[in-house]
Amino acid sequence: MKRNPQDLRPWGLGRMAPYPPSEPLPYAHAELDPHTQTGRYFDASGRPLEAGKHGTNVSQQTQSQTPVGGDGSGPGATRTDTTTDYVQD
Amino acid sequence: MDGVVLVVTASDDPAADLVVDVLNERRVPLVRLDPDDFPHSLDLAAELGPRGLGGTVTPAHTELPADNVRSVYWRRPSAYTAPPGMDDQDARWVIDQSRWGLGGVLACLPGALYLNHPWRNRDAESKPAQLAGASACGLAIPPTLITNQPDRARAFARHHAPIVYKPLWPSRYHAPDGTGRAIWVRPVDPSELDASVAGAAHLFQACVDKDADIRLTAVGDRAFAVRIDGAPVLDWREDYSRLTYTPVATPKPVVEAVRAYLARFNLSFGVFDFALDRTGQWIFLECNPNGQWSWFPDHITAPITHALADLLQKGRR
Repeated sequence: MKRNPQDLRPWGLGRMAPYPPSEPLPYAHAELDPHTQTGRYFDASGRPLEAGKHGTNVSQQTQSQTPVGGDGSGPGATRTDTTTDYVQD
Repeated sequence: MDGVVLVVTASDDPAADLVVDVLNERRVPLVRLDPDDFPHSLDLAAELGPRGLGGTVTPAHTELPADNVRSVYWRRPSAYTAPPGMDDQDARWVIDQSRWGLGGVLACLPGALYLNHPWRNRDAESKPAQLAGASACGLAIPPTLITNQPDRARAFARHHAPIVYKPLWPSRYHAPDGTGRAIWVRPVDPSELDASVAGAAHLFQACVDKDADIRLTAVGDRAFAVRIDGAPVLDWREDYSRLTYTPVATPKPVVEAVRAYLARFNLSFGVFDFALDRTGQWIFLECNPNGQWSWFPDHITAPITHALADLLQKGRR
């Protein structure tokens, strides 16, 4: 049976490629300091990280070497160069 | 009272931390919240009457008077969430009510300067709108084709070779093992352009013969341009490890065009990517209305941080 070109896997999807290797995020979780209104950052064992040791936002998400949740709400969602909240409109 | 600066972002946002630190030093009253705290640990009581919008938005530890906000720094809020255990349809309903309820209130705070307004960000994320807007504002853009017609794509490739392909939206995408995938800007071999181009909208663009890339961060009337050298591949975002950054002066016509662009899209902030071609011309590639800037070295980040704080402190009043 002949397939319509529109039914082929779209050309652009063939351009999907992995992210290059990158450093994992230096913190496991963050919470807001109610006094300073800045983030407090903690490692995986819950120890607070020194100021300046938690990295800075990069232009694209960096931790995509590791599996992320499929709901778009993982930490990666805040790292990308594009705002995500209104995507489903 | 001069009003509060509202910062809307996730808890893990080092860029917002930098700006908040400066505003704290200047003793500017400030409230920071993440909409995903709603409704479990953030309360909303917005009142609408003859005097417009009032009432309160109440995150943990503080309270925001809705009618006394001088400016809003809309950074990277988390996605809205629903309580765990809800079925999908109920959860979607809760999230929709949050987006149009809390999100709607935060989008119409009276008299506030938005940096940027989230709905203006959304409008300005469209690649066709960006290219059309940039061209209308006097910036040079590469010849571009958006199509689902393979013949048109092939003809464009022949005429403008070499060309690149760019996605129209950076969708989240994962391989079966769960690792992320992305589409980087890479050259297109015209022989690759087969019938499957018909299966989606595709953006093809003439590849600029470039000396370097320019990243220009515009904050209100101020422009901070950085020349990026050392990218081992066409798309410098693919590998940061070898990049070097040099602040450069922005040519006056580009400054004027960037201001016109921000005005056209009603933005207070935008991160522009240019290719610097072999003749020294700045070719507009895209403008991210909510682009990242805090990964630059400190000597570049510091003036941007202070410009953001200046604008937020000043507000509209």
